[in-house]
Amino acid sequence: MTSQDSLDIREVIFINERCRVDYEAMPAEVRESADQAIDALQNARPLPPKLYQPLSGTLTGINEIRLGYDDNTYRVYVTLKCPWVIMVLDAGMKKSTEGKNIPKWQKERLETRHKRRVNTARRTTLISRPTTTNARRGARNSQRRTAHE
Amino acid sequence: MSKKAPDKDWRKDPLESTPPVRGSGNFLKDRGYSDPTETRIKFDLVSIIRAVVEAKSLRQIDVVSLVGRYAPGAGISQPDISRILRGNVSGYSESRLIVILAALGHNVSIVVEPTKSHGQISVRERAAA
Repeated sequence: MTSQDSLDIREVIFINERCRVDYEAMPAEVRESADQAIDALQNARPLPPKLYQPLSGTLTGINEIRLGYDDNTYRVYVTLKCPWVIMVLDAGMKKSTEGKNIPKWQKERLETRHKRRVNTARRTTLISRPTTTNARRGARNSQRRTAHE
Repeated sequence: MSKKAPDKDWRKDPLESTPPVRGSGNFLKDRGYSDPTETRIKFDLVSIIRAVVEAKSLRQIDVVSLVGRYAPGAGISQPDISRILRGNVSGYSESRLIVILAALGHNVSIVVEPTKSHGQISVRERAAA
């Protein structure tokens, strides 16, 4: 979709100000790559597995966007549980010293933020039913994609 | 400028308890792109190029040689392909991305049709017949 004043199919929400600040703090090229990946998710376009992976275990429901840059790996964590929202949960450089594993503190933070997303959705109207045609279309596309997966 | 707590002390970070940050509904506009429409078109073209490259299991150098054969003057090198596949398209025009798609064996058409309200600019992919 799109034109200058049109709305996105899925709204992008950062879980808190820290997450947004961390996203902004990534190098410009990494941010552009992340923007492209999020834009693709908004429009239900496929992303290659090496770029986009679902997490498992206690982090089920969270997806990882993996971005290589200058010998470092940056990661953006998103959840698509709400069909009309892409919630960004965390962003920044991978800091684990244990290979591919996510550091314990970061895992805890992700779990806390993910729970907060669920509570936010239950308690408030922040993540409410889509009201625009585009948002409803986004919800339908997402359901179709989930069924496809 | 906020002061960030050390990573392991993330619970003490005052920004951690701030409410969710919502956008205007146009993500790329919020992200500060001067022309969000153009950027989205380029991002959509990248998604398609990436899917084609993956589906055909092409190496970046294969893409360069295909583009070189299709449009010898396009001036697309392997670092260009690498950047494009990573989604870094700020230095590339839509027409250069379209040339890559055509070289990869895709017809690219610009379809103009009347509409009752203001028009939308979009990239739509049609499956092969």
